[in-house]
Amino acid sequence: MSQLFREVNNIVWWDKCRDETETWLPSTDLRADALKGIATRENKLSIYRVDRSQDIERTIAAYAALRKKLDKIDFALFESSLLTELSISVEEIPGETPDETVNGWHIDLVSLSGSTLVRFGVALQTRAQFTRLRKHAVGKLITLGIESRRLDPTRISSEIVRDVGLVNKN
Amino acid sequence: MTSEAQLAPSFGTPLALPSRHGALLYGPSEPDFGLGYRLIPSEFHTESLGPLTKEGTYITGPFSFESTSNAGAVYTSSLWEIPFTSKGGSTALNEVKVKVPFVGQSRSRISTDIEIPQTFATRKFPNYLERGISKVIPAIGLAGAIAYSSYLVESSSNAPPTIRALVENSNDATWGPAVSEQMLRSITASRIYGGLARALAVGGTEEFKDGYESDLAHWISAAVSAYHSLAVDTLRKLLTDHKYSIDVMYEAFKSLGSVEDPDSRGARAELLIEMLKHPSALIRDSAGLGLADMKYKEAIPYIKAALETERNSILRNNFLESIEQLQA
Repeated sequence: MSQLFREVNNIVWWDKCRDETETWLPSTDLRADALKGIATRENKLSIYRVDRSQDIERTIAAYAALRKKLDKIDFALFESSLLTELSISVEEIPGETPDETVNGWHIDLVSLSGSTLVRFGVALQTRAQFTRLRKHAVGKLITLGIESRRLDPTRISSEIVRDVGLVNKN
Repeated sequence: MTSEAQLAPSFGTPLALPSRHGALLYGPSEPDFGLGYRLIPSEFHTESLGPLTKEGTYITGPFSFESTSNAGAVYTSSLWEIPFTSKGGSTALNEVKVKVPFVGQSRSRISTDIEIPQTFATRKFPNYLERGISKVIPAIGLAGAIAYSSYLVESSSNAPPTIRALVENSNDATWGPAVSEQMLRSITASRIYGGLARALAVGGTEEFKDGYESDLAHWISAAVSAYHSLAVDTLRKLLTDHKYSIDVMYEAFKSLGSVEDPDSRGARAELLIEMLKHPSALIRDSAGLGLADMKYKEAIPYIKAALETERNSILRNNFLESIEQLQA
C-alpha cells in the first residue's frame, strides 16, 4: 500500500501523551497548534504519495531541496487508505521539487472542509508515524540526491548547496 | 498588543554606509544594529565630507548614510542629518541636525575621529562622562549615538534611564563634551535592546517554517554576530521581561543554535540549557535542537536530566537524538 508523506513543521505537537498542563485535552483529540502543520491553502493540502518504501528518503531529499536553506524536517508518514476512510478527494498535481520523478508523486488533498481537516488531523495523530530528520541527515540525503543526479542542482538554492558542502565537511 | 507604531519606526532604518566608503557591514534590509561605534571600518575615509566646518557649524557634506524604511523607501542624508522613519510604517523623514563643535581641522584626522570639547555633556550627563578629559570618539559612533537618540524618542520606554536622559536632552543638538566609552557602551546596549525588541515584535507577525530563514532569525543572527554575548544577554532579558508567543520564542531559540559566532557560544548554550526546563514542550524542543546544532557536548548531562522528566514521548525521542548527535 502506498504511503503518504506530509511535512508537519513540528512533530512535538502530535504526541499522543499529555503532560500535566494538558488535562483539558482528551486523548482522542488534537492540540489545535498541531493544525499549523497541516494548514491548507485554497482548501488544499500538499502531499506526496510514495509507493515503495525505499523511495521515502528520495522524497524527503527532494522536498528538503525545494526549500531555501538546509534545515531539519519533521514529517508524517501514513497509509493512503486513511484518505479513503475519510472520503478525502485527491488531485494529481505535479510537484515543484528539483527531482522530476518525485514531482510525479505529488498530490493535493482537495475540497477540504474545516471539519474534514480536523478529522484528518486526529486520524494522523493516531495512525501516522511522526519522524524528525535533523539538518545533517537531511544534508546527506540531498548530497546523495545530487550525486545520483536525481536532484537537479540548478534548482536548489545556493544556500542549501553551500550548506550541504559544509555538512559533508563535518 | 503591539501597536503598528511600535513595529515600524527604525526597524527598517538601517543606517549603513554606502560601500564606496568602505563600509558598514549591513545592507539596506538589515535591522538597526549596525551603528555601534565598534563597527566603524578602519578604512573609513571622508574625502567626500566636503569642506569641514568651523566650530559650531553644521557639517552638511556629501558624505551620506542610506536609510531604508520599513516600506522599502531609501533615503540618503548627509552625515549629520540622520534620516529616520516615522511611525506606522510611513516614511516621513526627521532630520537630526547636530552641531559639531569639534576642534580639529585636519581632514586626515577628522576622517576617523572627532574630538569633542567638553562643555555640554558634563553639564547634562555628569554621571556618565569623564570630567575634564576630552575623548576622541569615532565619528560614526557619534552619528550612531545621535541616530539612536532619535530612535529612542519613539521607544524610550524600553531604554535604560541613562539613554532616556540622552533622548530628553539630545534635541539641544549641541554636542560639546567628551562622550565616554561607558556612554557609548550604554548606547550600544540600548541599540541592541531596541533592535531585538523590534525584531521579536515583528516576529509575531511572521509565519515560521523549517527550511526558510525568518526575518527574526536573520536579525537575531545579525545581532549576535555583531554583539556576541551582549546580544544573547539582551535577548534573554527581553524574553524574560516580555510576553512573546511560543512560536516567536521557538524561532528565537532555534536560531541561536545556528549562529556561527564562537564568542557567544557559552552564553547561547547557557540560555538554551535554561530553556530545557521551560513549561512549553516546543521551547524545550528548540533548546535541545539548538544545543545539538551548536555541537555543545557540555550540554549532554543537562539534556539527559531533561529527558528523565520529559513526558512528551516525541520530545523524549528528540532529546535522545540530540544526545546521540552530541556524542557522535
